[in-house]
Amino acid sequence: MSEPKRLIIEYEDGSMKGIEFFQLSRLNRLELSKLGLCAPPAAIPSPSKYYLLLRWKDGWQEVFGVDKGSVELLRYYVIERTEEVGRMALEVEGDYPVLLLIRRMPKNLESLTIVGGDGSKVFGLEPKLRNEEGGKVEHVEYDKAERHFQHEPEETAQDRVKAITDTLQRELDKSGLTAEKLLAMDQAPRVAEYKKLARTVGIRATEKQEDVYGFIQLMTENLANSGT
Amino acid sequence: MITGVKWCGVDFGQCLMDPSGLRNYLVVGDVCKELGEPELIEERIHRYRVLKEKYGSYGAIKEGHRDEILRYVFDDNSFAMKIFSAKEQEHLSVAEGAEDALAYLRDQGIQRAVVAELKKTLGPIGSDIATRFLKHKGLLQYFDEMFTPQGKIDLHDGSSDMRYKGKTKEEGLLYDELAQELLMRGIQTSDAVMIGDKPWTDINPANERGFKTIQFIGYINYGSSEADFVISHFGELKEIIKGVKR
Repeated sequence: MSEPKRLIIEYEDGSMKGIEFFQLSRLNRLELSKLGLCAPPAAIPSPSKYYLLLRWKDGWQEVFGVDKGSVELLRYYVIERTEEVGRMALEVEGDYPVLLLIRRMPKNLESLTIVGGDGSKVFGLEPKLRNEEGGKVEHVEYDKAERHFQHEPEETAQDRVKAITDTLQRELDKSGLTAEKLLAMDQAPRVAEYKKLARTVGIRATEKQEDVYGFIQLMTENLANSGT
Repeated sequence: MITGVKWCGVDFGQCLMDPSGLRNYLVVGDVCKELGEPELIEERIHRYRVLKEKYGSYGAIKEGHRDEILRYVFDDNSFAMKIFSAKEQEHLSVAEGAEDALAYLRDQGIQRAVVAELKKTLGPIGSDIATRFLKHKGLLQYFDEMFTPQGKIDLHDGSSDMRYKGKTKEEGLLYDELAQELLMRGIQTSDAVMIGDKPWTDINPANERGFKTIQFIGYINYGSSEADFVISHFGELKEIIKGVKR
C-alpha cells in the first residue's frame, strides 16, 4: 500500500470534508488499518521533538512525547480530594457483569428503571448499608445478594414507562405524526425528530448519544405496537 | 468585637459564592449531554483543564476569558455557552450561613456592598457573573451596591459610576476611592468592615487604609494575613460585628 495522503468523508448531499492523514492520531490510524483502509501505523514513528522522562521513587520510568516547538514545565501539582463515584453492576445473560460508572452526583441517583426485554423493573436507590475499608467508604444502595433489597412493584415500572410513552404520544400528536409515520421516516429526519422528542421527555445520554435515539425508537415501537 | 459598624463590604468569589459544587464533570458534562454530544465530555473537560493551566484558576477564566471557553472548549458553539452559564449558576451555592448573616447586618443598620475584583466590563444587572449570582440566588435584596475595577454599580437602579474603573483591590486604589466615598457619606474607614478570603486583595490592602478586616477561610485558607478576625463560617459574624442600631 502506498502512503495515504488525506482522509475524505463524503456526505449524502455530495459535499466532502477532509483532513491531512498525518493529522490523525496513531489510535485513529490503527482503527482505519483494522478496516483495511491503510497500513498499520509504523512501529517506530519519527521521534517527537521532546520527550518527558518521568521517574518514580521506586525506579519506575515512563516517557511521554511532546511534539511542540518548545517545552518548559509550567506547574505540577497533585489533587487530593474525596471523589464520589457510583459503580453500577448489571447482571447480564451469559457474560461478565456490565459495569457502569456513575460520575454525575452519584449519591443523588434516585432510581434505576430497566426498560426492555419482557418487562420493566424499577429499583429505588438510597444508601442502606455502609461498608468501610481503610480510607474507603462504600454506601450500598442496592445489592441483589442481600435479601432485604427489593425492587419496586411491577406497576411502578409500568407507570414510569407509560409516563414517557404518553409524553411521546402527545408530542407526536402536536407534530401531526404517528408512531408508524415516524418509524417510516428516512434516517436523518427521524434522528432530528428523536432529538426533539428526547429533549421534551428530558432524556440525555450517559455516554453515547446513539443510546438516546435507540431508547426513543424503542418507545416509539412500543407505541406503534400498542396500536394507540 | 467590632462595634459601631456602618458599612460592610463582602468579597464575591470563594467567599459569598461557594463554588465547591461546581465540578467540571457536572458542568461541562451536563453541557455536552444537553447538546447530545456525551462522547465529547472527556475531551472538553481536558480542554477546560488546559485553559485553567493557562490562566491559573477557573475563576480567572470565568471572569476574564469566557470567550476562550466558547472558542477553545466548546468549538464556537454559542448555544453550549448559554447552557454552560445556566449550569454554572445552578451548581454555585451561597456560602453557608451567609444569607442569615446578611439579614443580621441589615437589621443592625449596616450598609452592605459586594466588593469584587471583576475583570469583565460591567453591563446591566445580571449580565456579569457576580450580579447574575446575586439575582439567581435572591441576594440582591441584601446589597445596595457593588464595587469593582470595572466601575461601581448601584444594585437598586443599575446605574454605574466609572470613578472606580481600572482601580483594583490588589493595588489598593479601589479602597482609596471607596474610603473617599464613604467619608463623603460620613463613614470613617474605622467604621467599615471588609470581608474576604484573599489576603492580597481583600485583607491587607484594606487593612492598610484603616478598614476593619475579616478573613473568611471557610472555602480556601490562603494563610496568615493582617485581618482583625478570621472566620470559617458566616454565622460567626454575629459574634464579631455590631452595627449602629440599638
